[in-house]
Amino acid sequence: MRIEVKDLDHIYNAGLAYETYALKHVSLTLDRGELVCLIGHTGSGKTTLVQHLNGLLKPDKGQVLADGVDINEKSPQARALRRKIGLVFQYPEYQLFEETVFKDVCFGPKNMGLSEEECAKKANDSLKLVGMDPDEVGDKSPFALSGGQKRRVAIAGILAMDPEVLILDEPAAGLDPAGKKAILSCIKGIKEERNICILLISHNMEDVAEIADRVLVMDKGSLVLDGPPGEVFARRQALRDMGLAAPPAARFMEMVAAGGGPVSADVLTLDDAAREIIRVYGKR
Amino acid sequence: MAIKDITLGQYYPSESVIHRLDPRTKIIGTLVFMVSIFLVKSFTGFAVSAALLAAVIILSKIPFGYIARGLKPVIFIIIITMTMNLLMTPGEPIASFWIITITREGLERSLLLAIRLVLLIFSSSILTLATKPMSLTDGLDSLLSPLRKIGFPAHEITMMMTIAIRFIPTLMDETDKIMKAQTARGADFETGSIMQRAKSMIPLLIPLFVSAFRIAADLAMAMEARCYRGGEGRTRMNPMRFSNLDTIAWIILALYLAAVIVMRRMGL
Repeated sequence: MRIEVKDLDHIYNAGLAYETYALKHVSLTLDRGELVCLIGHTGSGKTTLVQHLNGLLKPDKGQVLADGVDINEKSPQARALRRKIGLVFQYPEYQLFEETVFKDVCFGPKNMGLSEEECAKKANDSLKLVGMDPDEVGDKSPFALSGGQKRRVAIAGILAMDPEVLILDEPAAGLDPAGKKAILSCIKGIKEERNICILLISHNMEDVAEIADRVLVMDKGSLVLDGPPGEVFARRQALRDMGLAAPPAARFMEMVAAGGGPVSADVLTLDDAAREIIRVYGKR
Repeated sequence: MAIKDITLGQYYPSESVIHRLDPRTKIIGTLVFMVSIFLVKSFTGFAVSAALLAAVIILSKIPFGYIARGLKPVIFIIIITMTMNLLMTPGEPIASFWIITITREGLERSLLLAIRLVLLIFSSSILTLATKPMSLTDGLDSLLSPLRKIGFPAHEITMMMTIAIRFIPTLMDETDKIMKAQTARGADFETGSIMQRAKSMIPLLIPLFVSAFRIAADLAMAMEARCYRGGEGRTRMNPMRFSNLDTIAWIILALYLAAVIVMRRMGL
Protein backbone atom coordinates (compact mmCIF):
# COMPACT_ATOMS: atom_id res chain seq x y z
CA MET A 1 0.00 0.00 0.00
CA ARG A 2 1.12 3.51 -0.80
CA ILE A 3 -0.03 6.42 1.35
CA GLU A 4 -0.05 9.93 0.00
CA VAL A 5 -0.70 12.92 2.21
CA LYS A 6 -1.57 15.98 0.18
CA ASP A 7 -1.38 19.51 1.54
CA LEU A 8 -2.86 18.56 4.92
CA ASP A 9 -4.03 21.27 7.33
CA HIS A 10 -5.42 20.67 10.79
CA ILE A 11 -6.64 23.47 13.02
CA TYR A 12 -7.48 23.04 16.69
CA ASN A 13 -10.26 25.26 18.04
CA ALA A 14 -11.09 26.59 14.58
CA GLY A 15 -12.97 29.87 14.68
CA LEU A 16 -12.07 30.64 18.29
CA ALA A 17 -9.65 33.29 19.45
CA TYR A 18 -7.05 30.68 20.38
CA GLU A 19 -7.17 28.65 17.16
CA THR A 20 -3.86 26.99 16.40
CA TYR A 21 -2.54 25.31 13.30
CA ALA A 22 -1.50 21.84 14.41
CA LEU A 23 -0.58 20.93 10.82
CA LYS A 24 0.30 23.29 7.99
CA HIS A 25 0.49 22.14 4.35
CA VAL A 26 1.92 18.72 5.16
CA SER A 27 2.61 16.56 2.11
CA LEU A 28 4.40 13.22 2.07
CA THR A 29 4.29 9.69 0.67
CA LEU A 30 4.89 6.39 2.40
CA ASP A 31 5.74 3.27 0.40
CA ARG A 32 5.61 -0.45 0.99
CA GLY A 33 8.68 -1.92 2.68
CA GLU A 34 9.95 1.39 4.03
CA LEU A 35 10.84 1.99 7.67
CA VAL A 36 10.30 5.70 8.19
CA CYS A 37 11.04 7.58 11.40
CA LEU A 38 9.17 10.75 12.30
CA ILE A 39 10.98 13.07 14.67
CA GLY A 40 10.20 16.51 16.02
CA HIS A 41 10.03 18.54 19.18
CA THR A 42 7.11 18.00 21.59
CA GLY A 43 4.06 19.77 20.14
CA SER A 44 5.37 19.79 16.58
CA GLY A 45 2.29 17.89 15.35
CA LYS A 46 3.64 14.34 15.03
CA THR A 47 0.80 12.62 16.88
CA THR A 48 -1.79 14.81 15.16
CA LEU A 49 -0.34 13.82 11.78
CA VAL A 50 -0.39 10.08 12.41
CA GLN A 51 -3.97 10.22 13.71
CA HIS A 52 -4.92 11.54 10.27
CA LEU A 53 -3.33 8.59 8.54
CA ASN A 54 -6.04 6.15 9.65
CA GLY A 55 -8.93 8.57 9.76
CA LEU A 56 -9.16 9.14 13.53
CA LEU A 57 -8.85 12.85 12.86
CA LYS A 58 -10.33 14.49 9.79
CA PRO A 59 -8.26 17.04 7.89
CA ASP A 60 -9.51 20.63 7.80
CA LYS A 61 -7.93 20.90 4.38
CA GLY A 62 -6.11 18.47 2.12
CA GLN A 63 -6.37 14.72 1.61
CA VAL A 64 -5.00 11.43 2.80
CA LEU A 65 -4.91 8.92 -0.07
CA ALA A 66 -4.30 5.20 0.29
CA ASP A 67 -3.60 3.58 -3.08
CA GLY A 68 -5.20 6.65 -4.64
CA VAL A 69 -8.45 6.50 -2.64
CA ASP A 70 -9.36 9.21 -0.13
CA ILE A 71 -9.61 7.34 3.20
CA ASN A 72 -12.09 9.86 4.61
CA GLU A 73 -14.75 8.99 2.06
CA LYS A 74 -17.90 7.31 3.33
CA SER A 75 -17.59 4.31 1.01
CA PRO A 76 -17.01 0.72 2.25
CA GLN A 77 -13.82 0.71 0.19
CA ALA A 78 -12.40 3.63 2.19
CA ARG A 79 -13.46 1.93 5.41
CA ALA A 80 -11.62 -1.25 4.40
CA LEU A 81 -8.53 0.80 3.55
CA ARG A 82 -8.60 2.56 6.93
CA ARG A 83 -8.46 -0.86 8.60
CA LYS A 84 -5.32 -1.69 6.66
CA ILE A 85 -3.55 1.18 8.40
CA GLY A 86 -2.70 0.07 11.94
CA LEU A 87 -1.98 2.69 14.57
CA VAL A 88 -0.25 1.81 17.83
CA PHE A 89 -0.70 4.65 20.31
CA GLN A 90 1.67 5.95 22.92
CA TYR A 91 1.61 3.66 25.95
CA PRO A 92 -0.58 1.14 24.12
CA GLU A 93 -0.58 -1.18 27.14
CA TYR A 94 -3.35 1.00 28.63
CA GLN A 95 -5.76 -0.25 25.97
CA LEU A 96 -5.60 -3.90 27.10
CA PHE A 97 -8.85 -5.05 28.64
CA GLU A 98 -9.58 -8.74 28.05
CA GLU A 99 -9.28 -11.61 30.52
CA THR A 100 -6.50 -13.29 28.60
CA VAL A 101 -3.70 -12.14 26.32
CA PHE A 102 -5.03 -14.32 23.53
CA LYS A 103 -8.55 -12.84 23.67
CA ASP A 104 -7.16 -9.33 23.72
CA VAL A 105 -5.10 -9.88 20.57
CA CYS A 106 -8.22 -11.36 18.94
CA PHE A 107 -10.23 -8.18 19.58
CA GLY A 108 -9.09 -6.45 16.36
CA PRO A 109 -9.59 -9.36 13.94
CA LYS A 110 -12.95 -10.13 15.58
CA ASN A 111 -14.08 -6.58 14.88
CA MET A 112 -13.13 -7.17 11.27
CA GLY A 113 -15.65 -10.00 11.22
CA LEU A 114 -13.23 -12.93 10.88
CA SER A 115 -14.12 -16.45 12.03
CA GLU A 116 -12.84 -17.95 15.29
CA GLU A 117 -10.19 -20.05 13.54
CA GLU A 118 -8.90 -17.16 11.47
CA CYS A 119 -8.75 -14.94 14.57
CA ALA A 120 -6.85 -17.63 16.48
CA LYS A 121 -4.38 -18.10 13.66
CA LYS A 122 -3.76 -14.37 13.31
CA ALA A 123 -3.40 -13.95 17.08
CA ASN A 124 -0.87 -16.78 17.32
CA ASP A 125 1.13 -15.47 14.36
CA SER A 126 1.22 -11.93 15.70
CA LEU A 127 2.22 -12.99 19.19
CA LYS A 128 5.09 -15.00 17.74
CA LEU A 129 6.10 -12.06 15.57
CA VAL A 130 6.50 -9.82 18.63
CA GLY A 131 8.55 -12.52 20.32
CA MET A 132 5.93 -13.88 22.70
CA ASP A 133 5.09 -17.56 23.00
CA PRO A 134 1.31 -17.92 22.51
CA ASP A 135 1.23 -21.22 24.43
CA GLU A 136 3.02 -19.69 27.38
CA VAL A 137 1.33 -16.29 27.73
CA GLY A 138 -1.90 -16.83 25.77
CA ASP A 139 -3.98 -17.79 28.79
CA LYS A 140 -2.44 -15.29 31.18
CA SER A 141 -4.18 -12.07 32.15
CA PRO A 142 -2.61 -9.18 30.23
CA PHE A 143 -2.43 -7.25 33.50
CA ALA A 144 -0.07 -9.86 34.96
CA LEU A 145 2.67 -9.16 32.40
CA SER A 146 5.61 -6.78 32.69
CA GLY A 147 5.48 -3.34 31.07
CA GLY A 148 7.53 -4.33 28.03
CA GLN A 149 5.52 -7.54 27.54
CA LYS A 150 2.22 -5.67 27.81
CA ARG A 151 3.39 -3.30 25.13
CA ARG A 152 4.37 -6.14 22.82
CA VAL A 153 0.96 -7.74 23.35
CA ALA A 154 -0.68 -4.41 22.45
CA ILE A 155 1.40 -4.22 19.28
CA ALA A 156 0.42 -7.82 18.47
CA GLY A 157 -3.21 -6.71 18.83
CA ILE A 158 -2.69 -4.29 15.94
CA LEU A 159 -0.57 -6.72 13.90
CA ALA A 160 -3.35 -9.31 14.11
CA MET A 161 -5.43 -7.00 11.93
CA ASP A 162 -2.91 -7.54 9.13
CA PRO A 163 -2.04 -3.90 8.55
CA GLU A 164 -0.25 -2.92 5.37
CA VAL A 165 0.99 0.20 7.06
CA LEU A 166 1.98 0.09 10.72
CA ILE A 167 2.32 3.33 12.65
CA LEU A 168 3.88 3.32 16.10
CA ASP A 169 3.81 6.39 18.34
CA GLU A 170 6.90 6.27 20.57
CA PRO A 171 6.86 2.51 21.07
CA ALA A 172 9.91 2.53 23.34
CA ALA A 173 8.88 5.38 25.66
CA GLY A 174 9.16 4.60 29.35
CA LEU A 175 10.69 1.13 28.99
CA ASP A 176 13.89 -0.12 30.56
CA PRO A 177 16.87 -0.72 28.20
CA ALA A 178 16.06 -4.43 27.85
CA GLY A 179 12.39 -3.77 27.05
CA LYS A 180 13.42 -1.06 24.60
CA LYS A 181 15.82 -3.34 22.81
CA ALA A 182 13.17 -6.06 22.59
CA ILE A 183 10.66 -3.63 21.07
CA LEU A 184 13.12 -2.32 18.49
CA SER A 185 14.24 -5.76 17.38
CA CYS A 186 10.59 -6.79 17.22
CA ILE A 187 9.90 -3.83 14.91
CA LYS A 188 12.80 -4.81 12.68
CA GLY A 189 11.46 -8.37 12.69
CA ILE A 190 8.01 -7.19 11.60
CA LYS A 191 9.53 -5.28 8.72
CA GLU A 192 11.51 -8.27 7.51
CA GLU A 193 8.70 -10.76 7.96
CA ARG A 194 5.82 -8.81 6.45
CA ASN A 195 7.54 -6.27 4.21
CA ILE A 196 4.98 -3.62 5.18
CA CYS A 197 5.49 0.11 5.60
CA ILE A 198 6.37 1.11 9.14
CA LEU A 199 6.17 4.67 10.41
CA LEU A 200 7.78 5.23 13.77
CA ILE A 201 7.60 8.31 15.99
CA SER A 202 10.66 8.53 18.17
CA HIS A 203 12.57 10.92 20.38
CA ASN A 204 15.64 8.76 20.55
CA MET A 205 18.05 9.75 17.77
CA GLU A 206 20.25 6.75 18.47
CA ASP A 207 17.38 4.40 17.65
CA VAL A 208 16.37 6.47 14.64
CA ALA A 209 19.91 6.41 13.22
CA GLU A 210 20.03 2.68 13.67
CA ILE A 211 16.77 1.54 12.11
CA ALA A 212 15.41 4.24 9.80
CA ASP A 213 15.47 4.01 6.00
CA ARG A 214 14.13 7.51 5.85
CA VAL A 215 13.68 10.31 8.37
CA LEU A 216 10.91 12.92 8.48
CA VAL A 217 11.35 16.01 10.64
CA MET A 218 8.42 18.11 11.81
CA ASP A 219 8.57 21.57 13.31
CA LYS A 220 5.62 23.74 14.38
CA GLY A 221 3.14 21.75 12.29
CA SER A 222 5.16 21.67 9.08
CA LEU A 223 7.22 18.91 7.56
CA VAL A 224 10.64 20.53 7.21
CA LEU A 225 13.07 17.74 6.35
CA ASP A 226 12.54 14.45 4.52
CA GLY A 227 15.36 12.16 3.45
CA PRO A 228 17.76 9.35 4.35
CA PRO A 229 19.16 9.50 7.92
CA GLY A 230 22.65 10.51 6.74
CA GLU A 231 21.26 13.48 4.87
CA VAL A 232 18.87 14.65 7.57
CA PHE A 233 21.36 14.32 10.43
CA ALA A 234 23.96 16.22 8.41
CA ARG A 235 21.80 19.32 8.84
CA ARG A 236 23.11 19.86 12.36
CA GLN A 237 22.34 23.56 12.67
CA ALA A 238 18.81 23.23 11.28
CA LEU A 239 18.11 20.42 13.75
CA ARG A 240 19.55 22.38 16.65
CA ASP A 241 17.32 25.36 15.78
CA MET A 242 14.31 23.05 16.07
CA GLY A 243 15.41 21.79 19.47
CA LEU A 244 16.59 18.45 18.07
CA ALA A 245 20.02 16.88 18.14
CA ALA A 246 22.04 14.49 16.03
CA PRO A 247 22.57 10.95 17.39
CA PRO A 248 25.03 10.81 20.33
CA ALA A 249 27.62 8.87 18.30
CA ALA A 250 27.64 11.62 15.67
CA ARG A 251 27.93 14.34 18.30
CA PHE A 252 30.81 12.51 19.96
CA MET A 253 32.73 12.16 16.69
CA GLU A 254 32.04 15.82 15.96
CA MET A 255 33.64 16.75 19.28
CA VAL A 256 36.66 14.56 18.56
CA ALA A 257 37.01 16.12 15.12
CA ALA A 258 36.62 19.63 16.56
CA GLY A 259 39.36 18.83 19.08
CA GLY A 260 41.73 18.07 16.22
CA GLY A 261 41.26 14.31 15.96
CA PRO A 262 41.76 13.15 12.37
CA VAL A 263 38.36 11.38 12.28
CA SER A 264 35.37 11.94 10.03
CA ALA A 265 32.30 13.18 11.88
CA ASP A 266 30.16 11.66 9.16
CA VAL A 267 28.85 8.74 11.24
CA LEU A 268 25.43 7.97 12.69
CA THR A 269 25.52 4.85 14.83
CA LEU A 270 27.77 3.59 17.60
CA ASP A 271 29.00 0.80 15.30
CA ASP A 272 30.00 3.31 12.62
CA ALA A 273 31.79 5.42 15.22
CA ALA A 274 33.68 2.43 16.60
CA ARG A 275 34.73 1.42 13.09
CA GLU A 276 35.90 4.94 12.30
CA ILE A 277 37.94 5.14 15.52
CA ILE A 278 39.55 1.78 14.86
CA ARG A 279 40.28 2.82 11.27
CA VAL A 280 42.12 5.94 12.42
CA TYR A 281 43.68 4.90 15.72
CA GLY A 282 43.61 1.14 15.66
CA LYS A 283 46.62 0.67 13.42
CA ARG A 284 49.04 2.62 15.56
CA MET B 1 -15.17 13.69 19.73
CA ALA B 2 -18.43 14.03 21.62
CA ILE B 3 -16.75 13.42 24.94
CA LYS B 4 -15.16 16.88 24.81
CA ASP B 5 -18.55 18.60 24.70
CA ILE B 6 -19.49 17.58 28.22
CA THR B 7 -18.75 20.53 30.48
CA LEU B 8 -18.19 19.78 34.10
CA GLY B 9 -17.45 22.33 36.77
CA GLN B 10 -19.09 25.31 35.15
CA TYR B 11 -16.82 28.00 36.57
CA TYR B 12 -16.90 31.20 34.50
CA PRO B 13 -13.59 33.04 34.88
CA SER B 14 -13.84 36.77 35.50
CA GLU B 15 -12.34 39.40 37.77
CA SER B 16 -15.61 40.66 39.20
CA VAL B 17 -16.40 41.77 42.75
CA ILE B 18 -18.49 38.64 43.22
CA HIS B 19 -15.63 36.39 42.10
CA ARG B 20 -13.32 38.06 44.59
CA LEU B 21 -15.59 37.46 47.60
CA ASP B 22 -14.47 34.89 50.13
CA PRO B 23 -16.03 31.50 49.27
CA ARG B 24 -17.45 31.25 52.79
CA THR B 25 -19.33 34.52 52.27
CA LYS B 26 -20.70 33.22 48.99
CA ILE B 27 -21.80 29.85 50.41
CA ILE B 28 -23.53 31.37 53.44
CA GLY B 29 -24.97 34.16 51.30
CA THR B 30 -26.47 31.68 48.85
CA LEU B 31 -27.91 29.59 51.69
CA VAL B 32 -29.43 32.65 53.37
CA PHE B 33 -30.87 33.81 50.06
CA MET B 34 -32.40 30.41 49.42
CA VAL B 35 -34.01 30.32 52.85
CA SER B 36 -35.30 33.86 52.38
CA ILE B 37 -37.01 32.83 49.18
CA PHE B 38 -39.14 30.43 51.20
CA LEU B 39 -40.05 33.18 53.66
CA VAL B 40 -41.34 35.42 50.90
CA LYS B 41 -45.02 34.99 50.10
CA SER B 42 -45.87 37.91 47.81
CA PHE B 43 -44.96 39.48 44.49
CA THR B 44 -43.59 42.59 46.24
CA GLY B 45 -41.34 40.37 48.33
CA PHE B 46 -40.07 38.55 45.26
CA ALA B 47 -39.41 41.90 43.60
CA VAL B 48 -36.94 42.70 46.40
CA SER B 49 -35.27 39.27 46.15
CA ALA B 50 -35.10 39.49 42.36
CA ALA B 51 -33.62 42.98 42.58
CA LEU B 52 -30.81 41.73 44.86
CA LEU B 53 -30.17 38.76 42.60
CA ALA B 54 -30.15 40.97 39.50
CA ALA B 55 -27.62 43.27 41.17
CA VAL B 56 -25.40 40.27 41.98
CA ILE B 57 -25.67 38.97 38.40
CA ILE B 58 -24.71 42.36 36.94
CA LEU B 59 -21.81 42.71 39.39
CA SER B 60 -20.56 39.21 38.60
CA LYS B 61 -20.16 40.09 34.86
CA ILE B 62 -21.38 36.60 33.94
CA PRO B 63 -23.43 36.65 30.71
CA PHE B 64 -27.09 36.07 31.50
CA GLY B 65 -27.24 33.23 29.00
CA TYR B 66 -24.78 31.20 31.10
CA ILE B 67 -26.95 31.56 34.18
CA ALA B 68 -30.17 30.80 32.32
CA ARG B 69 -28.58 27.59 31.04
CA GLY B 70 -29.00 26.15 34.55
CA LEU B 71 -32.77 26.21 33.96
CA LYS B 72 -32.62 23.76 31.07
CA PRO B 73 -32.66 20.48 33.04
CA VAL B 74 -35.48 21.63 35.35
CA ILE B 75 -37.71 23.54 32.96
CA PHE B 76 -39.88 20.45 32.65
CA ILE B 77 -40.42 20.22 36.41
CA ILE B 78 -41.27 23.92 36.58
CA ILE B 79 -43.87 23.57 33.84
CA ILE B 80 -45.48 20.52 35.48
CA THR B 81 -45.72 22.09 38.94
CA MET B 82 -47.05 25.29 37.39
CA THR B 83 -49.79 23.45 35.52
CA MET B 84 -50.74 21.37 38.56
CA ASN B 85 -51.08 24.44 40.74
CA LEU B 86 -52.89 26.34 38.02
CA LEU B 87 -55.53 23.65 37.60
CA MET B 88 -55.91 22.18 41.08
CA THR B 89 -56.24 25.25 43.29
CA PRO B 90 -59.83 25.98 44.34
CA GLY B 91 -61.01 29.60 44.57
CA GLU B 92 -62.53 32.43 42.57
CA PRO B 93 -62.81 31.33 38.92
CA ILE B 94 -61.57 33.77 36.29
CA ALA B 95 -61.74 31.63 33.19
CA SER B 96 -63.18 28.25 32.35
CA PHE B 97 -63.63 26.04 29.31
CA TRP B 98 -64.59 22.38 28.94
CA ILE B 99 -63.73 20.76 32.31
CA ILE B 100 -60.89 23.13 33.11
CA THR B 101 -61.35 26.03 35.45
CA ILE B 102 -58.64 28.53 36.21
CA THR B 103 -58.91 30.39 39.50
CA ARG B 104 -57.28 33.64 40.58
CA GLU B 105 -55.63 31.83 43.51
CA GLY B 106 -54.34 29.11 41.18
CA LEU B 107 -52.81 31.63 38.81
CA GLU B 108 -51.19 33.50 41.67
CA ARG B 109 -49.86 30.41 43.31
CA SER B 110 -48.38 28.90 40.15
CA LEU B 111 -46.66 32.18 39.24
CA LEU B 112 -45.19 32.54 42.76
CA LEU B 113 -43.98 28.97 42.58
CA ALA B 114 -42.32 29.45 39.21
CA ILE B 115 -40.58 32.62 40.40
CA ARG B 116 -39.40 30.83 43.53
CA LEU B 117 -37.92 27.93 41.57
CA VAL B 118 -36.21 30.22 39.04
CA LEU B 119 -34.70 32.35 41.79
CA LEU B 120 -33.45 29.23 43.60
CA ILE B 121 -31.75 27.89 40.50
CA PHE B 122 -30.25 31.22 39.50
CA SER B 123 -28.78 31.80 42.94
CA SER B 124 -27.16 28.39 43.11
CA SER B 125 -25.88 28.77 39.51
CA ILE B 126 -24.18 32.03 40.42
CA LEU B 127 -22.43 30.35 43.33
CA THR B 128 -20.87 27.68 41.10
CA LEU B 129 -20.27 30.02 38.16
CA ALA B 130 -18.47 32.65 40.21
CA THR B 131 -16.49 30.36 42.55
CA LYS B 132 -13.67 28.07 41.51
CA PRO B 133 -14.50 24.45 42.45
CA MET B 134 -11.35 24.36 44.56
CA SER B 135 -12.20 27.45 46.60
CA LEU B 136 -15.73 26.14 46.96
CA THR B 137 -14.46 23.00 48.67
CA ASP B 138 -11.99 25.08 50.71
CA GLY B 139 -14.88 27.20 51.89
CA LEU B 140 -16.94 24.13 52.75
CA ASP B 141 -13.99 22.70 54.63
CA SER B 142 -13.70 25.77 56.78
CA LEU B 143 -17.45 26.06 57.34
CA LEU B 144 -17.78 22.40 58.31
CA SER B 145 -14.70 22.34 60.53
CA PRO B 146 -16.64 23.05 63.78
CA LEU B 147 -18.37 19.72 63.18
CA ARG B 148 -15.04 17.99 63.68
CA LYS B 149 -15.63 18.31 67.42
CA ILE B 150 -18.43 15.78 67.16
CA GLY B 151 -16.32 13.43 65.04
CA PHE B 152 -17.44 14.51 61.57
CA PRO B 153 -14.48 14.07 59.16
CA ALA B 154 -14.95 17.48 57.53
CA HIS B 155 -11.44 17.85 56.13
CA GLU B 156 -11.31 14.32 54.75
CA ILE B 157 -14.65 14.72 52.99
CA THR B 158 -13.76 18.03 51.38
CA MET B 159 -10.35 16.63 50.43
CA MET B 160 -12.12 13.77 48.64
CA MET B 161 -14.33 16.28 46.83
CA THR B 162 -11.28 18.31 45.80
CA ILE B 163 -9.50 15.25 44.44
CA ALA B 164 -12.60 14.09 42.58
CA ILE B 165 -12.99 17.49 40.91
CA ARG B 166 -9.29 17.70 40.13
CA PHE B 167 -9.30 14.36 38.31
CA ILE B 168 -12.36 14.88 36.12
CA PRO B 169 -10.36 16.45 33.25
CA THR B 170 -7.60 13.83 33.63
CA LEU B 171 -10.07 11.00 33.30
CA MET B 172 -11.76 12.74 30.35
CA ASP B 173 -8.42 12.86 28.51
CA GLU B 174 -7.81 9.24 29.42
CA THR B 175 -11.25 8.25 28.07
CA ASP B 176 -10.56 10.10 24.84
CA LYS B 177 -7.23 8.34 24.42
CA ILE B 178 -8.58 4.84 25.08
CA MET B 179 -11.56 5.49 22.83
CA LYS B 180 -9.22 6.40 19.97
CA ALA B 181 -6.99 3.42 20.62
CA GLN B 182 -9.93 1.00 20.55
CA THR B 183 -11.39 2.70 17.48
CA ALA B 184 -8.05 2.04 15.80
CA ARG B 185 -8.60 -1.64 16.61
CA GLY B 186 -11.98 -1.57 14.89
CA ALA B 187 -14.17 -0.98 17.95
CA ASP B 188 -17.46 0.74 17.18
CA PHE B 189 -19.04 2.87 19.91
CA GLU B 190 -21.75 4.54 17.89
CA THR B 191 -23.88 2.01 16.04
CA GLY B 192 -25.81 -1.13 16.95
CA SER B 193 -28.63 -2.00 19.36
CA ILE B 194 -28.60 -0.92 22.99
CA MET B 195 -27.25 -4.31 24.08
CA GLN B 196 -24.46 -4.18 21.50
CA ARG B 197 -23.57 -0.65 22.48
CA ALA B 198 -23.51 -1.52 26.16
CA LYS B 199 -21.21 -4.41 25.33
CA SER B 200 -18.96 -2.19 23.22
CA MET B 201 -18.35 -0.09 26.34
CA ILE B 202 -16.37 -2.93 27.96
CA PRO B 203 -13.15 -2.28 25.99
CA LEU B 204 -13.47 1.36 27.08
CA LEU B 205 -14.47 0.92 30.72
CA ILE B 206 -11.99 -1.74 31.79
CA PRO B 207 -8.87 0.17 30.72
CA LEU B 208 -10.43 3.31 32.22
CA PHE B 209 -10.91 1.62 35.60
CA VAL B 210 -7.39 0.26 35.46
CA SER B 211 -6.11 3.77 34.73
CA ALA B 212 -8.20 5.29 37.49
CA PHE B 213 -6.82 2.83 40.04
CA ARG B 214 -3.29 3.42 38.79
CA ILE B 215 -3.71 7.19 39.09
CA ALA B 216 -5.24 6.82 42.55
CA ALA B 217 -2.40 4.58 43.73
CA ASP B 218 0.20 7.03 42.35
CA LEU B 219 -1.52 9.94 44.04
CA ALA B 220 -1.73 8.11 47.38
CA MET B 221 1.96 7.26 47.12
CA ALA B 222 2.88 10.87 46.28
CA MET B 223 0.81 12.21 49.19
CA GLU B 224 2.35 9.73 51.59
CA ALA B 225 5.86 10.54 50.34
CA ARG B 226 5.16 14.16 51.23
CA CYS B 227 4.00 13.08 54.70
CA TYR B 228 0.46 14.27 54.10
CA ARG B 229 -1.91 14.02 56.98
CA GLY B 230 -5.05 16.06 56.89
CA GLY B 231 -7.18 17.64 59.55
CA GLU B 232 -5.73 18.77 62.86
CA GLY B 233 -3.05 21.45 62.71
CA ARG B 234 -2.78 21.63 58.93
CA THR B 235 -2.13 25.08 57.53
CA ARG B 236 -2.98 26.38 54.06
CA MET B 237 -0.89 27.73 51.24
CA ASN B 238 -3.51 30.41 50.55
CA PRO B 239 -5.32 31.02 53.83
CA MET B 240 -8.79 32.42 53.32
CA ARG B 241 -9.26 35.95 54.62
CA PHE B 242 -12.34 38.10 54.86
CA SER B 243 -11.79 41.47 53.17
CA ASN B 244 -13.71 44.75 53.27
CA LEU B 245 -15.64 43.43 50.31
CA ASP B 246 -16.94 40.60 52.49
CA THR B 247 -17.95 43.04 55.23
CA ILE B 248 -20.00 44.99 52.69
CA ALA B 249 -21.55 41.75 51.43
CA TRP B 250 -22.47 40.68 54.96
CA ILE B 251 -24.08 44.09 55.66
CA ILE B 252 -26.12 43.94 52.44
CA LEU B 253 -27.17 40.39 53.26
CA ALA B 254 -28.25 41.37 56.79
CA LEU B 255 -30.24 44.35 55.46
CA TYR B 256 -31.89 42.13 52.88
CA LEU B 257 -32.82 39.48 55.42
CA ALA B 258 -34.23 42.13 57.76
CA ALA B 259 -36.29 43.56 54.89
CA VAL B 260 -37.68 40.13 54.03
CA ILE B 261 -38.66 39.42 57.65
CA VAL B 262 -40.24 42.84 58.15
CA MET B 263 -42.21 42.49 54.93
CA ARG B 264 -43.44 39.08 56.00
CA ARG B 265 -44.56 40.46 59.37
CA MET B 266 -46.38 43.34 57.70
CA GLY B 267 -48.06 40.90 55.38
CA LEU B 268 -46.72 42.48 52.22
